[in-house]
Amino acid sequence: MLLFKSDFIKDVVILLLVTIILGTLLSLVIGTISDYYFGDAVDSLIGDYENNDLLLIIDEREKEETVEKIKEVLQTKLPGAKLSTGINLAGKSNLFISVGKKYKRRAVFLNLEDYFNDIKGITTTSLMTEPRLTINGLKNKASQLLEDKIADLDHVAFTFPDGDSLEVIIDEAQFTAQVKEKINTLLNDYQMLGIRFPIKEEVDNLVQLGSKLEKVLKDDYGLAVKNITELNSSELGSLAKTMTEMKSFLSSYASTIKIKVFTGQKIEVGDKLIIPAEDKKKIDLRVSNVNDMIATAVITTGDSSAAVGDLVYNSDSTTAVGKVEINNPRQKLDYLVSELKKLVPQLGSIFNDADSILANLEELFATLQLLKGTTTEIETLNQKLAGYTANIEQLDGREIKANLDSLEHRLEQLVVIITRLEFMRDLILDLRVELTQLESRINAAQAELRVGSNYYNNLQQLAENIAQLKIKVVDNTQEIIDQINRYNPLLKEIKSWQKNVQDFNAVIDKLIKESPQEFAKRLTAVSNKDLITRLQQVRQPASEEKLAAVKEQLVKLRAIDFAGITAQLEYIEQSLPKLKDEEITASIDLLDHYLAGRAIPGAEISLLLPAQNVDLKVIKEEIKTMIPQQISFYDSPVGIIVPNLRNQIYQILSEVKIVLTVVTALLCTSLSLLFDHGLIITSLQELNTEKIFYSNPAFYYSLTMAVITLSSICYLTGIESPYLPWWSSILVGVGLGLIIFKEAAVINDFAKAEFKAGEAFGFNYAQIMRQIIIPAAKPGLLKILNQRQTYF
Amino acid sequence: MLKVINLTKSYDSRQVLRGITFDAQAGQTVVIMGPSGCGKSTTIRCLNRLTEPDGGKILLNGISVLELNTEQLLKLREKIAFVFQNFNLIEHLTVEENVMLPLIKSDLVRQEIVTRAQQVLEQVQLAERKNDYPANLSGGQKQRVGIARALIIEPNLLLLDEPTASLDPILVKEVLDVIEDLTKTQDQRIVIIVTHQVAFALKVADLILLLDQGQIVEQGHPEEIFSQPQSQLGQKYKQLLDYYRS
Repeated sequence: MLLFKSDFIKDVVILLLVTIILGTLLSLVIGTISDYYFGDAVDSLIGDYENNDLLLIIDEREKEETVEKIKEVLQTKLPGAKLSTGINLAGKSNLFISVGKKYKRRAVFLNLEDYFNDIKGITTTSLMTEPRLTINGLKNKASQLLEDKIADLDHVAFTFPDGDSLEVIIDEAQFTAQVKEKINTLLNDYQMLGIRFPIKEEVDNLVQLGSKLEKVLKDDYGLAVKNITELNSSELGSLAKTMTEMKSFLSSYASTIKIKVFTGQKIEVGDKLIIPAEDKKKIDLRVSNVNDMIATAVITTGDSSAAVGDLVYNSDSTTAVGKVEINNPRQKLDYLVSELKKLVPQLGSIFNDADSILANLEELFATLQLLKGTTTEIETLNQKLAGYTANIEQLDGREIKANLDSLEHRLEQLVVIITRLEFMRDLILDLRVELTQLESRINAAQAELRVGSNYYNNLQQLAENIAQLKIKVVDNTQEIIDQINRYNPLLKEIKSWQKNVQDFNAVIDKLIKESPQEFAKRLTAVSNKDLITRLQQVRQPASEEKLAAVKEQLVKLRAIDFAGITAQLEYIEQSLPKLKDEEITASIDLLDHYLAGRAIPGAEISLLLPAQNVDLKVIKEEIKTMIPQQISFYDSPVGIIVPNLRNQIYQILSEVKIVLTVVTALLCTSLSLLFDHGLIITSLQELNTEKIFYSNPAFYYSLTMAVITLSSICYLTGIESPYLPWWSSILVGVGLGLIIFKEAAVINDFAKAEFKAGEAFGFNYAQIMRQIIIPAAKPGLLKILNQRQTYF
Repeated sequence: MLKVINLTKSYDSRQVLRGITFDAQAGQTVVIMGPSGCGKSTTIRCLNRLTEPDGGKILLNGISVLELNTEQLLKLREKIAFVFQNFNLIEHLTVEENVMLPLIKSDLVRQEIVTRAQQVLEQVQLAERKNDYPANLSGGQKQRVGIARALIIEPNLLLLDEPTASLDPILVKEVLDVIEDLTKTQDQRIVIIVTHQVAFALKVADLILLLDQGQIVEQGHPEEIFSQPQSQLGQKYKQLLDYYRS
């Protein structure tokens, strides 16, 4: 090869060396600048890599106070810890805490974030200790099993669980890849088999069932199975359950439309129907169920409160297809609340009346008792008076007079008692009317409530109590009223008797002295045995037990907190979503759509199995024979090492540095190839006109220079791309060399005539290049280096 | 003395030279003529091996040119000057530098080279343009620089490959005048000129070679060739000359 025969090879070697040195330096400088620039920016944002352990994001407005409190915590819990401040962004401040070396241990890190829980103003607490690996998706029991093994690995400082993750703190960053590989090997030894039960199916003793499966698989298949079943419900499950409840809640307050389909008309599920509404509008319905000639529908547009008439039409409003019955629970609740609000103030007076009636009834009983006593006394007196007539000669006027006074008094009492009884009768009759009205109101209110609800039950109890009270009052007081009514005709006679007694008592002394016969006659007239007999017939007091039952009923009734019930109903009414029927239907449809598209996890048994030599198909079949429910399986890795965000950012930065360094190396190589070697390649091509490329020395020169330059720069800069092996620079160099070989003449051609002139002068290749070609070439390293050799 | 024997050259399957044989004595001017593509330029380029011939022999002052190694050949070329049809000047060098260029690898000191350059530039009447760049010169001036660059090495063999072919007719004369002077003043140098200028050939040539299809169809003194041509090509050149004379 001409090049090697001439001393121009020295120029090429020098060019190559200088290119490599400059390319390396430039690549390193670019890499360092990028590292410095991006690293600095990221450090202020997320903290210096490896230096901080905890990131606290706090509210900037409360920064001063919060920082003081954080310092207090650090002093007491983590003496020697350093607190540094990052940037303030969007009203938030970043604080970084670096924990002292002696506090970098499991026990401290388990509670590290909790130390700051009580400090107001901290919005986020985030662990940022590095170098660190995070294993996600570990079930608690699997985490316990693996943690010891991972903690025992070389270069692992300590480990600690954090929620569903296991954090692995590594001694030094350089061991990260090594530890990661070992953990992966460990994780790959296991696999997890999940056995899921159908949604909403309650499975008792899930853990025990898992243990049973564990035992069977151990005994029958010799597998090192571990039951790692946990009873925690997932957040997704909770969300789905909440949504199901929400749907149920909305459904219970959505208007239900019942359609009695006219004979000859046919309605199918999904049909769209119309109910005329106010202002010539319409309410759109969608048929949700059809059973014989009764259909139910939901409102898709409009609200049932605006419905006009009771007919439902087909979608073009031309034909009435049925009679509609709208049940709007929201309207009914509204009515109920308003009724109860009217009822509550009345309840007080009703109960007071009832109390007063009870008191009166008690008094009535006392009165009747008094009546009984009075009647007996009157009877005794009557008998005594009758005795006086039998022995008229031995009459003691004073004694007779005293007895007559007593009789007169008793009769007076009797009149008062009977008069009071009449008043009580009126009261009892009023109470009965009031109780009847109250009962009917409660029944009306109860009808508006959903069957089975707490309020329905309370109101039902109230209605029953009122009804029983009424029955008891009616039953028990009827007898009393009847009795009182019987006293009525007697009252006149008693009063007449009382008059007779008074009259007789006024003349008794005179008669005793003047006319004992007349006295005896008048005395016989005063004693009224017939009236006493009739009084005794009437006197049958009501049972006090019955009265006690009425009293007990009234106490029960008073125990119900009607005001509270009303307040609660009012609260429900107010807290109900202010939605129209169409909006409720749309919400339910949306919830249905969401719930249908989500796999709501049911109860689940988790088994930890060896990853190797396990025929999952056989195991699954075995488990199916042991569990009667329709179960499903899923198998997954026991845990996954997740990229650490901060680590990732630094990794990206390091890759940015690598990329920039590689790009610079590529750029240097390309520029050198284009502007320096390109000229040589073109000249070699000119001198060697071989048409087959591999016979052309320029081809090999091009490849060699590209490969040596690029791979040397890459090697000297220490670039290690995580994605490309070390020899990739050689491949890239080859590619670059090929391109330059093909395109050199286009980019860096030279004057062939001048070259020929040089040949004609007897110049060798080196002289032609140094004196003629290179000085006329485009600016480049070769031209600069060549300057020392040019004659002119 | 130059002795060319049975020189052959092919490009791929096309044979360009088919056994060119001629002699030239020191001080002689040889003019090679012939139609385009007949092998004139190839012949002259083969003489200093700018084009490598396939076969034959070239003896220059007893040296077998084709047997020289690269180093010897380069050394030999230091005494063989070549004037190109397209001038082949170095564009980034001035007129003076262009002229000096062939001597920069010699043992001469710079000043000596400058002096010699001055002399040859004066010889071609371009001394006053020594600091100009070729781009600022006319075609005729460029070719005269080319001739000066050839003369500075004081060649034993001066090869001129169609020196006026790239010039417009008005400029041709100034170049031919320089060459004519050159041929008249030299004594030991062999000058070989490839040209289509019949009158010029008649004026300067000691030996004319008529080439056709890679072969010398007729050679001899111009008077012989153009008065009693033996070949058809010679006939044509005679007619042309007669035409000019009339």
